[in-house]
Amino acid sequence: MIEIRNLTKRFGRIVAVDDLSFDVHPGRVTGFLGPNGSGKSTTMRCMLGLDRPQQGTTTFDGKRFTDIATPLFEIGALLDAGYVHPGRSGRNHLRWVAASNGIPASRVDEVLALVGLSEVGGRKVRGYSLGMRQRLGLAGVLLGDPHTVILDEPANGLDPEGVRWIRDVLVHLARGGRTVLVSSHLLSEVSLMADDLVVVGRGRLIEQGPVGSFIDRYANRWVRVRTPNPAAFAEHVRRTGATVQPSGPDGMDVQGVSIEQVGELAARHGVVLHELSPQSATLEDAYLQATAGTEQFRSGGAPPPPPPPPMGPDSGGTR
Amino acid sequence: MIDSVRSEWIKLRTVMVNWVLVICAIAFPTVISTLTAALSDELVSDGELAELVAGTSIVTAMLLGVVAAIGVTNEFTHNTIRPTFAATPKRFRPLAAKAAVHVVVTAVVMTATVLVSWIAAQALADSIPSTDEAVGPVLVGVVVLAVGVTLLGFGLGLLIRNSAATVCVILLWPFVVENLLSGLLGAAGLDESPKYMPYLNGLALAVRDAGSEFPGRVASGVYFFAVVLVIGALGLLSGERRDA
Repeated sequence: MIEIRNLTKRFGRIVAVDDLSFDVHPGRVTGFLGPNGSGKSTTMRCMLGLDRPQQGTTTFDGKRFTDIATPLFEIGALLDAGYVHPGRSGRNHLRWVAASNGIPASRVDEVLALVGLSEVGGRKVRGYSLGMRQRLGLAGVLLGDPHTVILDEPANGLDPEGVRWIRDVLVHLARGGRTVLVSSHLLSEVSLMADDLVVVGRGRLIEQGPVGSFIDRYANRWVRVRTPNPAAFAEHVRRTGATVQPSGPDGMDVQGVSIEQVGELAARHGVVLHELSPQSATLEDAYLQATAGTEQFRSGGAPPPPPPPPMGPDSGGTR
Repeated sequence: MIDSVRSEWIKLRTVMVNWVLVICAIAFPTVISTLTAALSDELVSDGELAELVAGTSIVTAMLLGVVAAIGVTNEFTHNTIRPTFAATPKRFRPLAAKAAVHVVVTAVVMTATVLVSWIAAQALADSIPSTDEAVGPVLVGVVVLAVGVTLLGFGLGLLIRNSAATVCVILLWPFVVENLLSGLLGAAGLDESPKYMPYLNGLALAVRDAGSEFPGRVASGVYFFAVVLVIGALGLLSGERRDA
């Protein structure tokens, strides 16, 4: 279990992390979310003693990171796939990392095989794609088979197969009882793998807890109804105090009553239903709602550019 | 600690630029000393031959200092210092291991280079009498100087954290800054200023007679190493305290 207490990190007058406290539990994947510049990476660096916080502590199963003699056996961290000398081969990179904790060189070949880089292990890292570097970084994390895994944007640069692979790996690690903390801006990915969320904005904690509770708290839930005569049924529903929004020619979205209540109401009035389904906003909606106003950098709200004009015989595009 | 030493040794020998610099460092004095000894008629004593070997080996010392410096600065340029400290949170350990590995490599490479250059030059030079007692101290002195320059590169690298700037300081400090400063102070009437210049004192280790303005081979060496150790300690302190 990771316990972060009152962590504060300032760079000059800029407060990157502001009195941040949260827990990361074993056996679960914890997603670490926040807008750009919200302090996620700085928090992770402070947790590992790479940045010196002005205040606060981080403990891993009760121990400070600096008190762990061979951390690779306890905590595997990948903060950036670019933390590699480009002139060194992937295998040699892993060899020096392994040697620093007394891990035998044979383990290097094992983890290279595990991440699918056996064939290119001898190639210099400057020839690696971003996805290959991510895999190399993950191989470094797995070297000591640690019980705590910390990853910063691990899916960056991976192709769809790689994204799915890393998701499966992280979920597998968590189900094996390990503590997994993963930051990502790919909310769809986080929603597929995270059990818990820690959401930060401007260096402060916004929310911590299970993904479902987070969505419940910050996003709407409603009932979708499709019926041949929506206007008449909408009147019945409104009389219960619920709000009704039309949705398509034969549908409506109902808020303020449970799905059971809507079904019973339809049965009572003999209304034919083609659809009766629970709906909820996505993690993305909840996240945007939770972090509204905490973004350091945001788009100006301009509409997307118009599509290009169709290619005609005079456009010259076909010549 | 032994794990950190092993790790730093792997780092040192798995980057091509280090091999290139070390090969150049070995080749330069060996080739120049050998050719000069073979072709020149002006070498009339073993003391002069030793000074030739030591003088050309100063280039080796500088290059090995550069290897140590970029060994440190590349960690910051490529951010490999972060996985290094994440794997060994007690920062002193990997930093001390890196210094130790570079010092040992410098000592071994420098000793081999000086010996090979000396033996080859002696073999090719016209019969030179063995009369000068300074031969041993000069040849040992240049090896000691190289170790000092390596520690200096290590300390400066930790303080500056930038390859180009660190290499510039290592190269310009002895050949430009201290000579310029000595000249200016000399012009102002301070004729004894060279004896306060740490690098010039270090170079005094590798010559037969440094001149009366220096306090002697041992005292000059001690002064040079004192300055180097202070810079090394400041570098370690910086590496320990600053964000990685």
